[in-house]
Formats: sequence, C-alpha cells, structure tokens
Amino acid sequence: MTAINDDVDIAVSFVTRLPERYRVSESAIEVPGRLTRYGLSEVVNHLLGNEKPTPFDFLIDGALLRTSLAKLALRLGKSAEATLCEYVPALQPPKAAESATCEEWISSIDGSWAPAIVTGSFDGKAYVWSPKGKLMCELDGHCERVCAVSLAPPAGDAENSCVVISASADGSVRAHELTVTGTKCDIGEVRVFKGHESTVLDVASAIGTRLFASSSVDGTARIWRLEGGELATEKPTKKRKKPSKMTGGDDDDDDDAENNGLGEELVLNGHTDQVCAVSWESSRVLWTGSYDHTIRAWDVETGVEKESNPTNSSVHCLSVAPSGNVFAFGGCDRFVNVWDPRESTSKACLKLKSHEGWVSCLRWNPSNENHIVSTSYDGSVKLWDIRGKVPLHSVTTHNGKNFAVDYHGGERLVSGGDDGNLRFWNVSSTLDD
Amino acid sequence: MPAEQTSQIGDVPLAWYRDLAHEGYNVDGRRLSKSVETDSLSNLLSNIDDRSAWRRISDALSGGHIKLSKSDVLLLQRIQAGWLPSDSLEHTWEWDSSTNTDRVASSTEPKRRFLPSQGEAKAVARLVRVLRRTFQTGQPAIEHAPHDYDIWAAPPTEQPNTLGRIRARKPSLPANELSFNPPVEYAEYAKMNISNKSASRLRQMCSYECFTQERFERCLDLYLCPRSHREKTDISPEELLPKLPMPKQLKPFPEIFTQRFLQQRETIDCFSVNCSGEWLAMCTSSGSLLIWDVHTGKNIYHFDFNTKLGSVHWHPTRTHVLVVTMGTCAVVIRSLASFDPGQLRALKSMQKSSEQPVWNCSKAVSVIQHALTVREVAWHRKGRYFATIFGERGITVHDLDFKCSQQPFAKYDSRVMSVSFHPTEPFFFICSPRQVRMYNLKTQELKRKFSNGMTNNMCMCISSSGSSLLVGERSGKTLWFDVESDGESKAIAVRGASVLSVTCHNSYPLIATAAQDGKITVFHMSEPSDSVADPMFVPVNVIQNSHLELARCLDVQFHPRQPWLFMKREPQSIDLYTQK
Repeated sequence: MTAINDDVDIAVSFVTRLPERYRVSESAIEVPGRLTRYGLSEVVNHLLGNEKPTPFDFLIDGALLRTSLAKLALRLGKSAEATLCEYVPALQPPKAAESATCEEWISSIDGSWAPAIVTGSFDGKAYVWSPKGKLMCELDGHCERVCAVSLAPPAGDAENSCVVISASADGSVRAHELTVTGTKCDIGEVRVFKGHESTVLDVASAIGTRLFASSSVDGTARIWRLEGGELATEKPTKKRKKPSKMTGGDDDDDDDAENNGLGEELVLNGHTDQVCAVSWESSRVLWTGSYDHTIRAWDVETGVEKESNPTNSSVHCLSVAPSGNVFAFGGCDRFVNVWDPRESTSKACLKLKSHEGWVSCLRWNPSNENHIVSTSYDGSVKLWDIRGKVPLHSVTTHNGKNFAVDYHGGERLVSGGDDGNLRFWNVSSTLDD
Repeated sequence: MPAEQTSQIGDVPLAWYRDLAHEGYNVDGRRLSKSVETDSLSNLLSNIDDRSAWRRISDALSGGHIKLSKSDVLLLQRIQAGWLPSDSLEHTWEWDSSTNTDRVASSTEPKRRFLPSQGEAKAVARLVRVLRRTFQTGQPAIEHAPHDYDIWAAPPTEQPNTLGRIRARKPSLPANELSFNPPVEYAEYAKMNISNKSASRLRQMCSYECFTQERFERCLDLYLCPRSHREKTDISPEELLPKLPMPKQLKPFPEIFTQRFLQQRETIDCFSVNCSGEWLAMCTSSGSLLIWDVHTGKNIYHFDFNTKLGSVHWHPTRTHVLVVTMGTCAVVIRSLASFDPGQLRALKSMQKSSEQPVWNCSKAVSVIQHALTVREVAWHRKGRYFATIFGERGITVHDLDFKCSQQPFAKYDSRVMSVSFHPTEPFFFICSPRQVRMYNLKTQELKRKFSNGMTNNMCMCISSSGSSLLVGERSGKTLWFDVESDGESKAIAVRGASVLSVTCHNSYPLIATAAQDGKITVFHMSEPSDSVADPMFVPVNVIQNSHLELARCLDVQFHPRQPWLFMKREPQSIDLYTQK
C-alpha cells in the first residue's frame, strides 16, 4: 500500500444511487488528493456536463468527506489505487420560511403530522398551527406551563384527525382529540391523565399502539393508555381540583395523588433524579434519559428495567431513530451523542461537538435515517449527518435559548425558543426533482 | 631403528616370550616376528670375515644387531677404567680446608633448615584459599593488571572520597622573589610585597619577620576552614509539593458558564436552590421573591412583599416549602401555589413584641416574630428544625412540626456569624469571629471548639457526611477541621482577600469558596483510603470575576444533585456553571 499525502493522485470511481441522469462512468479517474468536497463536486458536475452545477456530498466507506480526499483516505487506510466514492446530493442550507409569533416561550414542537404542527408553550397552552404558520387553535386546560407535546394517531382511521398529548408542570397530561378540516380545527373529547407528583417533562406516543409515555421530575416514567384517564368535559365533578403543584407541604396532598391514578397503566420506577426524556424504540421498548446520568431501557409489557447505561452528564433529550437501532441523546455535556447500543457503551458513543450550550432537543429526519437536527441553548439549530463529525449546516435561529425543533415532513424544519417565535425552515437537497 | 620395528613390551623379562612365535608388539600393536636364529658356525664365519665384529652387539629388544662406533668404544673403556665418561671434564682441583674455618659456617646447622618453611606454608595456604574462592565464585580472584595501557585514554576518574575529607591545600612554595637576594627582574616585585631587604649573602639575612604571623594564619586556615564534603540536598521546590491529580481526572465539577438568571433593574440579595434542584428562589432589593425554573431559566413565580427581604432558604427535603426572612420576621411558606403575600399582612398585624419568638400561622404561611432583625436561617438536614440568628447574638431553634421555638443560648457571648446543624448527630455549630463551637443539643453542653488561634471567621460549612468543617476567614484562608477527631486544622487555600462564602456539595466531593477579590474556587476533596490521613484538596476550577466593586454580592451554592454551581457574581444575576 502506498502512503498517501496531498500531492498524490488518487484513483476514484464515482458511484451513486441517484437516477440514471445523475450517473457518471464508474471507471476510475485520477484526481488530486488535495481535492475537497467542492473540488470533487466540480469534477462530477463536469463529467455530467451540467451547466448549472449541482453540489454533491461524497462518501468513502460510509464516511462523509469533510477534509481533503487524501486525508480521509489516509484515515480510512485506503490505498491510492482505487477508491470507491459514492456521491449524494448535498443538503442545502436551511432557508428561513414563514414565521409566527407566540406570546410566550415555546417549550416543545411536534411536527410529525402533515396537516398541522403543535407547539407547547410556557403560558400553559398548546397551540395548533397550520403548515403555513397560521394559528389554528389553542388547547388550554393546564394551569402551569406545557413542557412537552406529542401527537398520537386517533382511535379511528380518520386522516384529518389526531390526538394531541400535552404534558404540563402542574403534573397532569391532557390528550385532546383534534380534527382539522381545511383551516378549521375542531376539538373533540379531552382526557386528563393524573398521577405524576410533579412537573411532567416529556411525553411520547408509541408507534403502532394506543400507548404513550410520560416522564416527570418525581423520577418516574409512566405509560398510559390513550383510552384511559378522565374525560375532562363529561365528568367535571370527578375531576380533581387543579392539582396544586405543591405537594409535600400539606399532608392530604399525597393521599390524593395515590387515589388519582386513573388510566395509569404502568409506573416505571428506577431513576433517582428527574426523568427528562422518553422515546420509544418499538411498541415494546421504551428508553428514558434522566438527570441521574443514566439512560435506561424498559420493557413496556412487564414494566421491568431492561438495562441501565451510564452517561457522562445529565440527559436532557433523547430520540430513537425511526429504524429503532440507533439513538441520539444530548444534554449538559453539549454533545450530540449518537449511540448504537449494539456497538459501544453509552459513554463511548459518537460525540458530535459543535453546540455551545445545553442541547435541548434532537430529532431524526423521518425521511433520511442519517440526518439529525439538534438545537441548543446557544440559539442555534444544527443539521447533522451521523456519517460525518462536522455539522452539515448551522443556523442561529433565535436570540436566546432554543428549546424545540422538529421536522415537518422530510424537508421542513420548525424551531422555537425563548423569544416566542415559531420559525419554519426549508431544508431540501439540491436536486431539482 | 624405526619405531614400528621396535618392540614395545617394556621392562618385562624376555623369558615370557621364549615359547611364543613373536617377540613383542610394535607401537601399532602388531606382533613382531622373531629373528631367525643363526647357528654358531655361521656366526663364527661371519665374525672371521668381519673385522669389526667385536664391536657388534645384539639387541635383545629389537632382535637386531647394533654396531658400536669408535667413540662408543672409547666411552666404554673410560667407564671401565673408572674415569669420567667425558674427557672435557678432565680437571681436578685441590680441596682447600682452610676455607672451612668460618665460625658461623662451622657452627651446627640450624634446626629450621630441616623444618618446612612456615612462610611458604602461609603463602601456599593463601593460594589455596584464592583458588577455592575462584572455584566457588567462578571469577579469577587475582586479576593481573594489564601491563600496557592507553596513554591517550581519558584519565581515570578520581576515587570517591569516602571519608568526605578534603586535604588541606599546601602552602605555596617560595618563589624567586622570596630569595634573600632576588634577581633584578624580581627586585621590584619583591620590594612591593615583602618588606624583605635583600642581602648579598645569606648569613647577612636577619630572621624572616613575618614567619610567626604566616604560621599563625596557616594554622587558622587549617582548623577554621571546614574541609569536608557536605551532602548537598539537591531538591527542587516543586518536588516537595504533593503530586496532585489533574483536574481532568476529577470530573465532574462545574467547568463552564451555562445559564444566567437575570433580574433586570433590581439587585439580588439572596438566592437558594430547592432540594430537587428544580427551582431557584431569589429575593431582590425591592422586596420581591422570584422563583425560577433551573432547567429552562424561566421565571415562574413573582411575589411582591413590598418590604425588604433578608434571605431565602428552601426546605431541605420538601420541594415547595421555603423560609423567607423580612425584618424581624421569619416567614415559612408551606405551599407556593396558594401563597399570597396579602396573607402576611393579617398575620403580621397580630404580632406583639416579645423576647420569645411568636408563631402566627395560617394554612399556607407561618410567621415567626423575633425580637430583633433576623439575619440568617439554617435548616437541619431532615427538615423538621431550623435555626435563625436574630440581632447580633440571638439564636433560636424552631420546630416546624410543633410550631414552637426555643432558645438554647440565652445570650451568646460574641457576634454570631453563622450557625449550622450537624447532618446526622445532635450537634449544633456556632461560628463566631474567634472560633467555631460545637454544642451537643441533647446533653446541652459545649463539646468542642474549633480554632487555630489566629482566626477571624467569616463563614462556615459542614460537609454532607458531617465529618469535615470548613471555615472561611478574613485573612483569605479556608480552614479545614476534622469534626470526628481532635486534629490540627488545615489551611486549604490562602489568598489575600477574605472568604465570603464556602459551601460543600451534597453528594459530590466538591467545595466552592468565594473570596472578596472576586475569585470563586472549586476544590475537589478526595477522601483518603484510610481514615487517619487528611483529605486532599485539589483546586479544579478558578472562576475570576472582573467586577471587584461588586464583591459583596459574592455567594456560591451547589446544585443539590448535579455537579453544578450557582453563583452570584453580579448584583443582578445568578450564574450557573455546569460540567462540560
């Protein structure tokens, strides 16, 4: 094997999975080793004979090219003779699209439903926005700030309806049935789930089942059935007085909390500090991340803790990839940690470093399993490809802290933070079609 | 005769071979056949023919004949005549008996001539010893120095002086100028140095006048000059310092700035983090109490009291209970959600001035009225009791369950800086400027005094295990005391400015001190494996504050569960430092 430095020409054969008109001859071409992504992109565009160049990203052995070709080949231990280089369309920088203003800080966003986007706000309401950024309706009922929102499929198969689950600092979780027709929004029945003794920090609906999980400052995660809980409108007498957040001060508060576990399916006890994040791996396995520096996996059917993995710092957000194998978590250590439990321990996972504040939210691209979007208290939103170590793009979206970001479809981002602005971003790849 | 023909039977009788067919063996071991016997007639005939037959003799060993030469015959004749075999030694001399007249020689032979030599016996014994040693060790005991050596080689190193003595320097020898009659070229020099008048002859010289003086000085030099090698200790000061681990190895600890809880327009007087670490309470100069969510940095509650607030302290186990001091009152808020500052007015109006603290309670609030201004509050770890300092010297302990108070110290004898409960034992610590006293509340007696004699204490803190007491003092030292044993104190940090605040972490081995010059230092306290040794304090992070004029604001407090540090460095904000 010959040693590779920048002066060496490297034989590269360009391959792609793109349609026929983006393909070039697979025969090896000698290119200078000092070429970077831009240089290789020019080469490919020249081979394609494009008048308007299309930027491409290049992958060698599954690693994204971010330095020069020679350096990456040296790092991967490739010989100078023949290097297979796959090219994919590069992601364009996010372009600011619509913007909407909310009065209060935005704590969470769920954009997994095409007809509408739901945000949770510090004024105790969940807001439903149209994909164009118009406010459609407000879902109120909480007496404290809403910490997390999540969307769950409705009971029927109606495509234009959805269940909005909102978790609040008052210790309750509410599920609103929502039907969207055009720009109109109808609120169906509302269910209230009580049982947490303190602020509910995160909520996540399961894939494929009528379950959702919530996590709280009291150190528990709970799994609920969507049909459970109390109907907030039909049984106002049974509904407890707004749970005062202040337990512990008065003795009778504790008794109330115990009697009130209606619709509660399962309590996952084990964390020693507040549980900040929940995410479903499948309909049977739930992952939780906590302030106690652990990430735990739970068997949902039995409620037994499957494994507990230590981390270097408190975990503030956690997101399992749609494929269910890899997940990303972030928190106090400012890294975007991408961890495959089959490969390494949670302390020795891939650490992507770029944020300068606590990582507050992480989401996987629903249409591209390699892309993550992350946001942080430094006010920036960063797009990552987990095959590289440098963010693809970074935009400063808000002046202050950023609490939430989510994909709306594969090519649109929604972000929100402590300036109360809900911002939409278009992230599309560079291909025309 | 060649060797292979010679019989090699040795000195054995030839009769042994008489009856055998051979007469011996040659050098290769082959038999030698006997020579053919000739009869006496043929012998006679051959002797008649040969004139030199009389010189021929037979050799029994080889079986052949040897012919004697003329010189051999001559030699034999001389031997037979009794002469010397060789005629070259044919000299005789007379023996002179007169030479035998020496007395010594004529005396009898000494006995030692007939005895083996003892010196030789010793020398032999020595050699035997040496040889034995050589066999045992395998090394030659006597090493012969090489006869030739490399004259260009480096000179051999000087043998180390094991005794450590230095030989005195020899006095310098007199040179030309010291001559009684120095040459002309030295005369000038001689006149300058020595008051020695030159003389033309040595006998004209008077005695050397400096002799006594020089001898005396020489003696002084000899005995006053320490001529011995001293063992020099070549130690750099860095080596004497203990080996501290790198801060990297002591993670986690608060490293970088993360969040700021900013209260615009108002000065923050005091802050406190609740037991779960979820909320941060602060009271401002305008008399409002603010509760912040630590995770998001959002102000959640805002209560206006409209009077100056002293301090705020959260309950150590219940997440929603806190004590606020205002003037002469300590207010226990039992439920923040149902709390309204308007309730206080009614409770405060019920007050009556008294020496004993008075409790006025409603469902959510209790107001404890003191005789003097309440300065400080200290909670017991379990949360049932808390102590307040009022006035300069008043100390009261309140029972939250029974809603009553008691004053264990009628009047403390000096100004009370701060008080603290021991986390597990019924001990009570009172910090005064001169010393820290530990009282046993059960037996109501003074148990110990902590002081190193020179202190001017500012603040105090008990570690969560209760084994260590940390005292910050005006001189800038932070003193560590072992509560469980009567050991010496240990100064863990010395700097110029007085220490305003010292605090320990509940679960992590971390200590933070805030000094008046704006420096906040985070120490890692590593407990030794054996309980005898003192803990080691490693400074892991120093956070500098540029606003020196605001130094009075300095206060530090750890997050109860995370390795995070809250600090008040500026009048209007609380900063949160977290691990990286």
